[in-house]
Amino acid sequence: MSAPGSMDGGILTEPDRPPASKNPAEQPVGPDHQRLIDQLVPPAPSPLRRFVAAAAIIAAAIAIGLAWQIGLIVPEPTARSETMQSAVLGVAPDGRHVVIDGLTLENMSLTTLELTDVRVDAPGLIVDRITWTDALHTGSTTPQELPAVMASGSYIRIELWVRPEICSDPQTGEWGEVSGRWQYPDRPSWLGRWEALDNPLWNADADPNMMSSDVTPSALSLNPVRIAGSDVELDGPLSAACLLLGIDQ
Amino acid sequence: MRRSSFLLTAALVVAILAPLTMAYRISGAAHATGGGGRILGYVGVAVLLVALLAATAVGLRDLSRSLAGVDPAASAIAARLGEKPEQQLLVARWLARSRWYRNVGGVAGVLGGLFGGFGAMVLVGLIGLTFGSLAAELHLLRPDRISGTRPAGPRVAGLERRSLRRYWDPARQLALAAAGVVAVWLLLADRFGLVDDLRVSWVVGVVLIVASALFLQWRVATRPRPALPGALRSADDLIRSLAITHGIANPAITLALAFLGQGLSDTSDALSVMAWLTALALYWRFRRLGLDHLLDEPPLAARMAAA
Repeated sequence: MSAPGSMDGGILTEPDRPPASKNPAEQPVGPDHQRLIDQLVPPAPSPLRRFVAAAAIIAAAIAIGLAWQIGLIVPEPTARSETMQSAVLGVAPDGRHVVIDGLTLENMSLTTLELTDVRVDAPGLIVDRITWTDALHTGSTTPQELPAVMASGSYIRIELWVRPEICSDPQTGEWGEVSGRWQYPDRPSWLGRWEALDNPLWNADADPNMMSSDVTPSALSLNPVRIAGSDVELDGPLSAACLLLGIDQ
Repeated sequence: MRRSSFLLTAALVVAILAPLTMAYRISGAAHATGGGGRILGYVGVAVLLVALLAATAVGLRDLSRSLAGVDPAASAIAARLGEKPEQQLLVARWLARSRWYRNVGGVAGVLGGLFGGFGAMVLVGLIGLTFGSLAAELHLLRPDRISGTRPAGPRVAGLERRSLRRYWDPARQLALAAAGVVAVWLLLADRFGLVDDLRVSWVVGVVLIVASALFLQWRVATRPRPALPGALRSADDLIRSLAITHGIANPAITLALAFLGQGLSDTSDALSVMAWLTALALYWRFRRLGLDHLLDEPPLAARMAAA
């Protein structure tokens, strides 16, 4: 410790004084010193007042922590968990896109939230359109564009319309993390946040599904696929999308 | 003080383990003798429950004393740092104040993070402890209550020039500055694509922590003070030095490392874990302001007398 003034190695020495008592409370200081000490460091309130103040601060911290966890301070759509049903890749009606379908999001917070955007880590795939439908089919089943206003406890099902950027050199990168941008419908958008889903879209660790080479599939699960009788293995959504669209790789 | 704490802890451990062992042995014997010792087994469990209740009661008592600011160790530490009663009183008052703020902040943080799991408890606990430590140094020179010259402040001010350099510890300042430089470098590297998956908000948090700590250190160093007799002036210099090093720098460095660990968690597991382990080690090293080791020494007055 650096020791300014008359401090000697971090302690205060006064060799020409007789030794003081061990306990300062046993040696009351004079009123002049007391006044100066009160100016330098504020006197402490009574223990009861300090205890009450501490209890109030702790109660406030607990209340804030609880409010945070149940989504009253920042959007916490997946405060407990989110579910992702078995998503599939299928050819879109326009024949130019494939649709990633079956991705289900749940608002598990205690407040109404708005899903304004969805982001997918899918190098080589371009997300052209994102639609949603009510997963519980309590309302319209027609796919709608984002944003989606979700009451507490509601589910929606997301469809991602994607097309391959290039099929000749399929990239294999970090595949499949899906994030949603959540915010409160009636609060400023900067209070919103991105929340990544626990499960990736593409389950790279799953055992490859075997597929016959003489069948052109119209849909694939989001797992690796090995084509029987050949060395071809679809190791990502890009190569799967290229196969579905009949584009040579 | 530390020895009595150790003895109390040891007694609690024995009080819990002994009935546990006894209950286990008795239940084993009861099983072997066809249930004849079942009553003894119940007695063992009852003793265990009593011991657990006693341990809980002791814990709650210590916690409530801590939250009420009852800190006898502050006076004992002050007796190791100052010789004169007024020096000891000033140092003890600062110690008790600072440790109370830290305790309240830490407990509030731990309980506030309770709902987010163990990791959140540790992280929010460190945040609360650091906020408490910094908040303890927010006070200014108070007006003279006795002379009634309020709110004009001290009648006679000390005019000596004080700067942060007079009180700081170079090693701690270097660590604080290094945390800030690393954070700024990471932000720039992220901007130019040199690092992947940096969690930017945490790294921005490191910059804010370092900036706040430096500002508060400067504020403590230059805080006005009245003209003081030599003994009190030395004691005031000591508490400023302790505030700048133990009160501000230590928790700020600890929290900055924890935030760096968070910021790097998606970039590099090894760096993230290393930052977190260092933060936890620093917390342990500097817990309770990091001055309790002085309790192992005799009071300064006794040392002076012996000399």
